[in-house]
Amino acid sequence: MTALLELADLRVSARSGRADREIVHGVDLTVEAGQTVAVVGESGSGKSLTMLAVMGLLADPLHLTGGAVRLGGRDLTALSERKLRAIRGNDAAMIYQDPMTSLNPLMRVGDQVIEAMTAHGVPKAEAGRRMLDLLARVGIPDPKRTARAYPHEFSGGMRQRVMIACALAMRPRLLIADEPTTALDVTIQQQILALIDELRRELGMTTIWVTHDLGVVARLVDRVVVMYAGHVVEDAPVRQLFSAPQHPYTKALLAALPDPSDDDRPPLAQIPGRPPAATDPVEGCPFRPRCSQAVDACATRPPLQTRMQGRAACWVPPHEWRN
Amino acid sequence: MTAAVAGQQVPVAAPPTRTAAWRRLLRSPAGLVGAVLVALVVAAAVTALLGMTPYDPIAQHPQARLQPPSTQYWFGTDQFGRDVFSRSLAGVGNSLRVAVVAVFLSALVGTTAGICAGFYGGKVRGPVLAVTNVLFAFPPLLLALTLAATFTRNWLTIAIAIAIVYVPIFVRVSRGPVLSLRETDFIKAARVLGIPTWRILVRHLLPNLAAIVIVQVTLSLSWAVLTEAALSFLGLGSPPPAPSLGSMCSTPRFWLVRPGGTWRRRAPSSSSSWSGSICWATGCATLSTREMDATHDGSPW
Repeated sequence: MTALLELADLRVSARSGRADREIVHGVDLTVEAGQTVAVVGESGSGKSLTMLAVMGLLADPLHLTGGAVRLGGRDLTALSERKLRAIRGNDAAMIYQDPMTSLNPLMRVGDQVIEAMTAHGVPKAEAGRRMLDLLARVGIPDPKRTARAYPHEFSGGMRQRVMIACALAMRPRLLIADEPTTALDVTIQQQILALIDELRRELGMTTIWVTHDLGVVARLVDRVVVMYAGHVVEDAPVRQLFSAPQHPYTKALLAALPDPSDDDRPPLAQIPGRPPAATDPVEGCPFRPRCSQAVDACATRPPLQTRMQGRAACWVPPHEWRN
Repeated sequence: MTAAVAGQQVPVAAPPTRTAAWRRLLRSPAGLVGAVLVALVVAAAVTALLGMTPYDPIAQHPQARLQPPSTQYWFGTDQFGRDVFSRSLAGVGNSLRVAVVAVFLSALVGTTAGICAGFYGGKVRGPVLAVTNVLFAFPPLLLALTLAATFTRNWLTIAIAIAIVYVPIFVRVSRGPVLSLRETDFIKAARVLGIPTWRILVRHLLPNLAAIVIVQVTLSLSWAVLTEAALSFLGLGSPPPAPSLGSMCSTPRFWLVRPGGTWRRRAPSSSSSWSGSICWATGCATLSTREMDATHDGSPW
């Protein structure tokens, strides 16, 4: 297997005044071609920022302060904006969180799908034909007629389908789905998840799901990367992650998933405290203040170490955990 | 796959047509009145610019000086025996020509600068806003006067002078919305899809800005008519003997005491403020109909 996407010690900072404040603290991550990975973490854990950095879309005051992003062996951080633009939407595509606002309200949906192709040099007539196929493929009924509609005439689910059509128009090798279903109804969520998963298989796309909901993607991914406060804390095959979490934070996350089949209805598990703000100075393990397993060693930051078939950043192995 | 979406109906309204928009405009009283007034003024201007006035506006008839209105001279004649009706038509033509060109230029330059300042920030924003602020610091009429006095005067340079005065308004009006549009998801989504920046500006940003710029254009048109009239009233408009509403208001001041003077003063000044208020009425009318459009079917313009 070859690595399609490699992040090496990726660091993202925000400029505030004269100081730089690091938000993503050196993410190492390799995604093999054809693999499906979920990146999970709370809001502010840096997961979306990491993905924006991959797409080269960090906008002022955010900027890359170190590390490399290699897509198919090519270092994207060294590319000019022009070359990056040619890669965006072409080799690497992204589906956004909020389909309600992600389409231009003044442009017919068909034209927006066409534009995703003409921007990468597809002739207009061909783009028009492919647009109809694409709309049909993502499940938009009567594409000929609906292509002439404006976004406001569509429901959220339909708009997300159009966004998917835009993103996949150039058959990208890498798809980043950044919480694509958060803004949708649960029933529609399942349809959209199934659609993306189907298209992923069809096009052989490497896919990264960014989410804060472990339950949603558990069945769709091969591997889960857990992020906390700008660090990768665990990276493991999905089964192992659920059956034998190697990091106390992962374990706490899993415990916070409600189990509907539980008759006793115990109070929902919570993780006490809150993640450190980007302004807080963090020494040692970032999860230490909230961790039930913290020991003295946690005052120094644990590196990602191989644990079973994955990696985890914790000094205390699970068999030593107190309950 | 299609099974998953069975049952989802997509209502697709008939695309709005131009004739439908016209019908809506004419159905509202404000729109109807505005349309009629605009038609009248534009007709007068076109008549004059095509040289189809009853008399040559600058031809003097020494034997018929200071005539009261009659069937021969509808608005009477001035101190040189020139037909005031013809001169009024020509004045309206001149005013509209100056106003349209001035507003077109300032909208073009101002909106472009505003979009660049809003979208790019940083290195573009500083200089653009500095120039804008300097221009804003002058009272508009004073600045227009200075510019008009500097150039050789003809209708085009007057238009350019007025355009320069109005540029900062368009910069400010367009920059603000660009700042918020820049952060909207659909602009970000366009970047994610790798759409080139110029194309994002032209196809995604500009159309969403159009509503605001169009309202500003209609307002500015009426102001520009009045600014042009004020310039020529003060003697810095189109040089005599070119007919101009402002100078036609100005000159008869000296003839007020003469018999038959009062109505001559009235004709061009009222027609100047007419065209001003008419443009404004048009603005209101278009705005109201646009709003109706928007609430009616949410369609873009």
